[in-house]
Amino acid sequence: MKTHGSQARRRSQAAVFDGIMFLLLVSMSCTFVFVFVSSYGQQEDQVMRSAYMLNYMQSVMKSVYFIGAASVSGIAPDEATYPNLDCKKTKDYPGTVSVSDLVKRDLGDPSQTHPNGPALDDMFGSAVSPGRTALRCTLKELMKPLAFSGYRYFAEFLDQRRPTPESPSGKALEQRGVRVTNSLLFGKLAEPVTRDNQLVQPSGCELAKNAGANLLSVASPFRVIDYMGGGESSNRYIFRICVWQSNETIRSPAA
Amino acid sequence: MPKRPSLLRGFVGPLGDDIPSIFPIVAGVLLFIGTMAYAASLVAEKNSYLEIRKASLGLSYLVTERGQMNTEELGTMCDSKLRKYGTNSRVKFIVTLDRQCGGYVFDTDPLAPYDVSAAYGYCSNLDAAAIVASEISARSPVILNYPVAVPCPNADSPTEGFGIINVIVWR
Repeated sequence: MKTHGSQARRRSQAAVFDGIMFLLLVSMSCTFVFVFVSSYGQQEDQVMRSAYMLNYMQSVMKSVYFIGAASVSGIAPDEATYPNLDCKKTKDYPGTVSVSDLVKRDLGDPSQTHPNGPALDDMFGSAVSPGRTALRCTLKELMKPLAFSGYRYFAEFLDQRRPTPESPSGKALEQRGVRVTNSLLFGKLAEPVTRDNQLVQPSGCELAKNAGANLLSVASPFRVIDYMGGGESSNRYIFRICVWQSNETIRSPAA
Repeated sequence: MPKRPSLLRGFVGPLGDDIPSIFPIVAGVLLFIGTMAYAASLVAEKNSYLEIRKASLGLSYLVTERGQMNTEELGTMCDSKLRKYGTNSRVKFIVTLDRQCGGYVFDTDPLAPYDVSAAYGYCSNLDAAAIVASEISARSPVILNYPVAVPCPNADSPTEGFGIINVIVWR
């Protein structure tokens, strides 16, 4: 009798212990299930968001080829983000001239007037060709939804004939005003400086990438006729747009 | 009251001693089943959302294959590609094309993207009468916007200006 009672008590204690252990194990497995469920599909979602952004930027690039230069003359840019930008400069161009036509003409400078290489400076040689203005006005409008969502962008041109280890597709053109951006911070950092009588200018996209930004970029071939060669050959450029999420705030000059 | 031997105190029989352990076991089983059911419903909901997003991206790739668009081109593409894709993906969709020649203006009305009567052109796998803005909005659709070149300054102009394509997909 003595042995039977002792065994029964131990058995009941063991049963309660087993029950509690079972509950503990179930709680742990439930925690794992919740951890799995909370992260389920996040990567796919992230990939699809990036795919949307890339598709949006590709649409921006395609639109630049079709939008008429005169169509962007009505855009009113804000001075803080786009200083010295007068979109009215493009109003007299006929509808057959697209923004990309003006940019290609602007980048087709001959070496007589541009010994340092072609520049995006609103000039074709010594004639007015407001490609830079048209591109800035167009991108200001086309990138508006992304800019409102806190994204900053750079648009720049790479020279395919000059590949570098950092940029195998080609080195970014180095000229004053050749980087089009809505980032005041990186815009300043990407301005050209003269070192040893040579113009040195970092790529805007690479600057942002090196600063740790999560960069998305799209690029397309952008051939510009070499007018000095009688128009028989073309300079092979790449038109690149990159975006990144930024907490950079824009302050008006008066503030 | 007869006094029980001290070694038998607390002993309520072979079955009675197991009753306290049954409560944590039952609670554990219920918790586990409840968690699995909840997890399965969340995974199914997420999968459905991902499928809708995938379908919306697929429709977007089709509709933005060129950088320019007018109503005739949208109509042709609608009949040849978009409706078939939407039906095969088992989603309902509206693709609207808007002209915003003066520059993009964002609507403050949340139901504005569903208003096909105000659009320059639209495509859907639903009849016009079945497109009710409030009902679509209640289904939390995926909405994607893309820039495109459209005829400007008039709807029949040969020149191109700013336009926008809205891709709205739901199930």
